[in-house]
Amino acid sequence: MFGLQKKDEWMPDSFTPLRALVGSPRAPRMTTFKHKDELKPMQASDGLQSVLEHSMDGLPTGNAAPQVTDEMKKEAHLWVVREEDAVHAPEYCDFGNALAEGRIKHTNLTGGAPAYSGGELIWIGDREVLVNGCSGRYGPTNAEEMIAAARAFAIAGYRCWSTGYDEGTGFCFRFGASVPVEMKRDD
Amino acid sequence: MTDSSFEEIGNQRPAADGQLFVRSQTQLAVDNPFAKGQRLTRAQVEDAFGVSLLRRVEEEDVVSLVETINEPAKTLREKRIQLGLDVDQLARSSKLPIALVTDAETPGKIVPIQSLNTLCQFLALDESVLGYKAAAGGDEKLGVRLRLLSENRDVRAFSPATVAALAEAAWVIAKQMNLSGLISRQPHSLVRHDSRRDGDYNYPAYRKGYLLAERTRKLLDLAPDAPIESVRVLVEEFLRIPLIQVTLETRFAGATIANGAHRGIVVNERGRNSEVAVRRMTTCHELAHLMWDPDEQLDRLLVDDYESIEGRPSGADAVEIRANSFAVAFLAPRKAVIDIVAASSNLGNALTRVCERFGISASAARHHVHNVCEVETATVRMAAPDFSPWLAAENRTIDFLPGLDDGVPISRRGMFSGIVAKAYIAGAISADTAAMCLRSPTESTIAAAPGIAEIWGLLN
Repeated sequence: MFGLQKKDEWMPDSFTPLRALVGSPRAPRMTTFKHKDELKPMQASDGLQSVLEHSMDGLPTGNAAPQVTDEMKKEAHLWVVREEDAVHAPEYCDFGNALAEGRIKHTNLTGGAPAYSGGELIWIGDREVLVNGCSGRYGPTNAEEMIAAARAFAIAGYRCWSTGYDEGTGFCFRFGASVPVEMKRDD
Repeated sequence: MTDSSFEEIGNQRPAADGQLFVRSQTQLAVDNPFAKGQRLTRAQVEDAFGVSLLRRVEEEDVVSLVETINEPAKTLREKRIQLGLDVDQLARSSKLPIALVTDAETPGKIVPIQSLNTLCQFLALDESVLGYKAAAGGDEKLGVRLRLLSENRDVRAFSPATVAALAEAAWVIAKQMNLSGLISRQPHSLVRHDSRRDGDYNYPAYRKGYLLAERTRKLLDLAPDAPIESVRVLVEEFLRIPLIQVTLETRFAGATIANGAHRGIVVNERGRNSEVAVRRMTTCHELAHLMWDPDEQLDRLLVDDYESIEGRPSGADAVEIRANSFAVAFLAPRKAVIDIVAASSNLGNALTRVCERFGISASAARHHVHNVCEVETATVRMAAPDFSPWLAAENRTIDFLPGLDDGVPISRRGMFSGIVAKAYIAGAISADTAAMCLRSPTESTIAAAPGIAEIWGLLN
């Protein structure tokens, strides 16, 4: 359902405003780098998927913010906004299982190349997603970037919930550490 | 990616030694320039959260500390209610906006960690594990006793402000003992958690108090007739008991508080304690409770008004009678008093001499001489004693804290300040934590720390 969207050439997408805010793509922060295979690029055949763009029709509704369970966390994906697209893949998958850490890192989504932003996401439904900016390598460095990243998912046609940015730690909130806030495309 | 670039990337890992971490309301992270939370040392993180969580933070940069998004709001709200405080009262005592206190008690609302730390101090909660451990290590028995203080229907009822101040004192006591452990400054063996207690209050309780005073003087190797030059030094520096000064309603004299495993003494700077001789008596009265009352008598909190200490305790309260006779005989040993009276040309001179030699008030001297010499003293005319020689040694806690301004609460100005400064200098706690403890800006706390540690003899 979230298959790779093939693009023959670069064109503006929902993540363009985020790229404009960040400016230039950033090299990954590698403070927790341990194994060479954290830079092994993941391919579509390994489970890498693009964030598909949808119309605004048929968005899920309702007021309740999603409650994150441990089971949902185990199914979380990593996402990265690259130069020409935004991609995601399950953190725990066959490709990750073959890596030294037993799971993928954000740099597997980029091959270690610079990128604009990154984090984790949980699919609540086909068109509803909960995102955070928890990427040691590419994560947002301030609240504005986190808002822009979450808004990009909303612009792409998803009902998007964001965990937000934790001013206290200078990192985004992990799942379960804050009450998710719905991010509208026009917010 | 080549091997050389791999090395280049791998070498960006930060050194573990001296590394700081930073916590917010719900998360703990490696330190970084963007964070506005409270910095913690590695030792603090290990102490509060354990080694495995520390390793997770190093691995993942940031981790959640809360099991449920209801924390820490639930803990804060429940503790406030347990203490019998309403939101307005807590806001007033902590000097935080009412809206912020309300937010802190609302699940999911994010409040600066510095404000949460302040709230914890007035709720006697351990801020270092707030949100992470159930009830933040709060002592439930203490909370209940504090609430009962304000719910009393009789004249002994205390105001909510006093309850909050005593809760804060309980926090200072626990924090001082925790920090003392971090800098290997253990309390004297006479006052440790498992040290001697004596549950015998059998009649006559006053005589039991005398005997305990004499036994205590022997245990402390005090000469039988020697005055105690500074009760403050004895309690804070020799016995290493937390001695917390507070500013409370004037009828409150002192209290002995057990917060978890830690015991400490609280003394009101207002009321008759502003007289040095009364303050010495109050402190010794509380010392009797702390050293000799078993836990079931102490019941986490023993509050004394001046009637209990200088006059007759209400009813036939054997616990208070024993503490009173301990205090006066500890300060003014019976035999030494008898010798002074015997050597004096008249009783008035003897009373003044007892006051000045042992640093006890005129009213305490009258009672004491009457009791031990069995002579009538109530109507004896005596010259006003000169207590000025006692002031310097007993007052340092109140008067002197170099390098920090008047904003430091009196509750933090005693040995507590020296231990905080020493813990910071030793690298056991972060500058943010030292500043939180002294309620001072971080930069001025850093600058003042060596001077404060030095005056308490803790620099080396």
